[in-house]
Amino acid sequence: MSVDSPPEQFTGGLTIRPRRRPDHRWLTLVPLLAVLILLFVVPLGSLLVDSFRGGQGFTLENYREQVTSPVFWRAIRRTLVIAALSTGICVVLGYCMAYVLTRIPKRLRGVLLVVVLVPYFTSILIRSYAWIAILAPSGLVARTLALFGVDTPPELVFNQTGMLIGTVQILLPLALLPIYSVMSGIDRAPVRAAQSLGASPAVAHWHVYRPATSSAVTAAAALVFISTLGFYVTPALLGGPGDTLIAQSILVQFSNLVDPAGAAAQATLLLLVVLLLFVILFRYLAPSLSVAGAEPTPASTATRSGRRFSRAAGSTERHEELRALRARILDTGLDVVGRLRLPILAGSWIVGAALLVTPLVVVAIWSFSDATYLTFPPEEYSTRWFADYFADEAWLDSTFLSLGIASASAAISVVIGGLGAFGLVRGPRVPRVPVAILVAMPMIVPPMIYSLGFFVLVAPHGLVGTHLGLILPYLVLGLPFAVSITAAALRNLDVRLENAARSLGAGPLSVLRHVLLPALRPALVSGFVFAFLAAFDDVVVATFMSGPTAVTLPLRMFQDIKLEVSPRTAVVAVVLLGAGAAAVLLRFVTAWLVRAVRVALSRLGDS
Amino acid sequence: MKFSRKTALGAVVAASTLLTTVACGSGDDSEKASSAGTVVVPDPGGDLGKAMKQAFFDPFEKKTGIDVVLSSGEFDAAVVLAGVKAGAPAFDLVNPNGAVLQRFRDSSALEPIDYTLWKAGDRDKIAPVKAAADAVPAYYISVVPAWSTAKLGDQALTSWADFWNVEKFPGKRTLAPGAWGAGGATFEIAALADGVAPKDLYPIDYDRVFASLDKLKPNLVKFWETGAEPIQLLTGGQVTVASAWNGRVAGAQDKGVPVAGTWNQSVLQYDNWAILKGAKNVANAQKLLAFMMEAGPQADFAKAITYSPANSAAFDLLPADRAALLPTSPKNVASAVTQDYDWWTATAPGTDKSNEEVAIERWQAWASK
Repeated sequence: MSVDSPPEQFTGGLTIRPRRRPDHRWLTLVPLLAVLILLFVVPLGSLLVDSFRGGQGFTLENYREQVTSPVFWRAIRRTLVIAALSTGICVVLGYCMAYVLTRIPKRLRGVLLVVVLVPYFTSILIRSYAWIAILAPSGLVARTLALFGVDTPPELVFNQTGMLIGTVQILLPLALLPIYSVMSGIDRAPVRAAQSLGASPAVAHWHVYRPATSSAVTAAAALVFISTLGFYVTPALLGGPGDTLIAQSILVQFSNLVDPAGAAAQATLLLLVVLLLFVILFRYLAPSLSVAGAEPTPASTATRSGRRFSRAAGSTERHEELRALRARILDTGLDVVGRLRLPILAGSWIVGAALLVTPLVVVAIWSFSDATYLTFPPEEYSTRWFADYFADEAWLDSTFLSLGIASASAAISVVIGGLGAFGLVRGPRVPRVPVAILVAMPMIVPPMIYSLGFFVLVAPHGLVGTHLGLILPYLVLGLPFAVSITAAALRNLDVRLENAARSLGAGPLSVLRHVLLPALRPALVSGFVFAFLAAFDDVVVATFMSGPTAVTLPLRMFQDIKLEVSPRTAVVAVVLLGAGAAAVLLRFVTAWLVRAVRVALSRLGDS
Repeated sequence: MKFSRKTALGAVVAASTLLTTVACGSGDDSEKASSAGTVVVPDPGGDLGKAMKQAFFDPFEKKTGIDVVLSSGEFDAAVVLAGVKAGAPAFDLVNPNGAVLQRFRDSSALEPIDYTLWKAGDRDKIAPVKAAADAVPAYYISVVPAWSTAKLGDQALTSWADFWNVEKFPGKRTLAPGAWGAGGATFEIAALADGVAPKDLYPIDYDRVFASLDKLKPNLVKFWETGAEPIQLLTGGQVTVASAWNGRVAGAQDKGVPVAGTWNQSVLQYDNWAILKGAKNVANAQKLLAFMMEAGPQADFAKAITYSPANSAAFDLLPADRAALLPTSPKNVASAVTQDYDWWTATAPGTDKSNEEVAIERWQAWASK
């Protein structure tokens, strides 16, 4: 993989004077690597060994069976198509929505960010049931369309459309937040300068602003794409008969055929396909998208694209024509987009918010339903399901257990992942690609497979059903978020700031405290949020690692709604939402109080 | 270098330990242990879970002082087997269905049942399926054709052929996924709908089954994933006709949901009780099992949910009108088809796989088209 770094990296303060001490920044990679190797590579390795094990020692039978199976390839193809589509939708929508966030007043931004996080407050299962209530032939959408005289509504659910809608809803925040965390740190002065020099807003955005966000867009796209590969609940509920995705196929291999070796073989093959895909993407389609590359400044993008074009120009005239055509298309496109930018941006939020919030509204209404099943709209209302929840110690225990475990694992993920991201971006170049791939692995490997490997490894040591037994795998699942989001932000942070601080005598700790932490705060916070949610929303790991005495909330919700589709899970969502809203409110109130006190104090000092 | 790596590792461990303690309190103090000990069983939840608790677990706790811990952990055969293999089964007592039981046997994951603890004569009363050395039939359930009376009014289905008949009974359909093998009885259902006589069901004629399913496919919205889902889809109006377990249909009717089912061509299945090898509380599990199979608790169970007791002596303790609602009551069983787990678990001719494995693979190939 050819990774060309922009020259800026090496013209920073340090190359002018020889370094006084050797560069130890790679050391920050150590905890990350240690965790990933001990808690991820080892369990998976033991499973991989199993995938080559047959009745009589080593065998390739498990692989032969999958590779020759049309079922497997159909599932892979369908999965890649769905993953690509949801990635495209999520990134475009998320990009527009994130951009809007950076241009609106701070308070409104807070509200909208809450909207983005809202879907995470409830189980994926009940969200999917909500989508059914919304999209089904007798559902909300159809009824609304009927008001406008549309009698034959489009088929929106129990097919790939339904699957896509459900997937986009779940993954949109995953695209939006990393992009937002980078956008919020971008200086708008160059854009204004470009516009004052005559560039139209869209052209200025495309050539000046967008390049600075490209690392975040890549990270977002990779996060969404890879997450989609592991989905099975949403496709199972919203897809039609036969819309099997690869995760479901692996699950059938594992659960129904009780063939862990075959499942491991499928997972390994999936991994290979994805890695191959990424390599091709990096190599041919977008050299600037490299995970390992440093974030280009606009100038370096120009030189780089220049280099790319010169490669092409060396061949034939046709390339020239193509290039001109491409430029013309781009210009026309930018012109149209520029004229329509307000409707597009507003529209992105209308569509996005509708996707994110509508199912939650349905869920909230369900929580006040008196019925035992989920009928929409409910015929009678009551608060009996709330009473049921608060009277049930098991549900409350699970709620606190999940909050504790998710916070603990997310906190550790952010510390280790943040350090690792620093080592990845600022450390030596050689290990970048392998480390980046290793970090992405926990997301690519279906959680079912990873959990199995981890479970088999730790079960004999009595870790099942303990808090540590849940925190460790969640730590691993949180790391890709923590690392990739922080790394994207770090790449955008000018290394000269750190070098300047160092040359002025700041030690590593004060550079961290005064330069890195303030600049990386949004990224670290969104890294924490995602690592937290990865744990707080998980069912799969919990399936293996929960004992009878430590049942996490998502697992309890999952089991409950699986066994009896009742409004109880909806209540949990509303309670969590309420608690979240209370926390946000509390933060605003404290901030306001602190400010008021400060103002009062300063006045006191003045007088 | 070595030093710093160690320090870093130490820091990781220290940080995780610290955070764990801070975030979660003092660790696993939640394990309740009374003097008589515990026994861990999977919680099937829903009405089935309530019935078991009421008829078996609560009275057992009262009688012996042994805590029955209901674990809502996933009862997935593969996960449970992985636990047995790792020497740490999540449960003491499990209730796999007739076909899945074989997988436990294949992995030698079962403890022999101690019949010396049983009340005299109980073992011989286990019928129609006999008690085995390592497993006992737990209860009988049926997969029945069910429909929304809100949509169909007084019209009633009487066969799986009616299930396929969208002219006479218009509306969308849902079935259990055939990826469950014997689980949702979808293979049998599709064959019966195509006119296969019950006595000719086995060996399953795959070509005929998939041809039959192809006919239904345009009206099939999806395959249900959980026992609760067909009732939810009927209630929500997304489907008009569904296959469902008889207890689910009866439970929904009790709650006033406008659904109905028929015993005609119902597919009779059964679950088993079995004790896992290496389980922590084998002795308590043996006691619980002996208690559950007594006629009294068996009858209480059948009063709480419309699943048939495995101890035939329980029928003597049931009022006639209740017995009439159970899958193995003489009238209902006469029009039912009994699922043949012997066939499902047998090795498929010409392969080293069981019929169930072959069926699942054929299903995957068909469904992914």
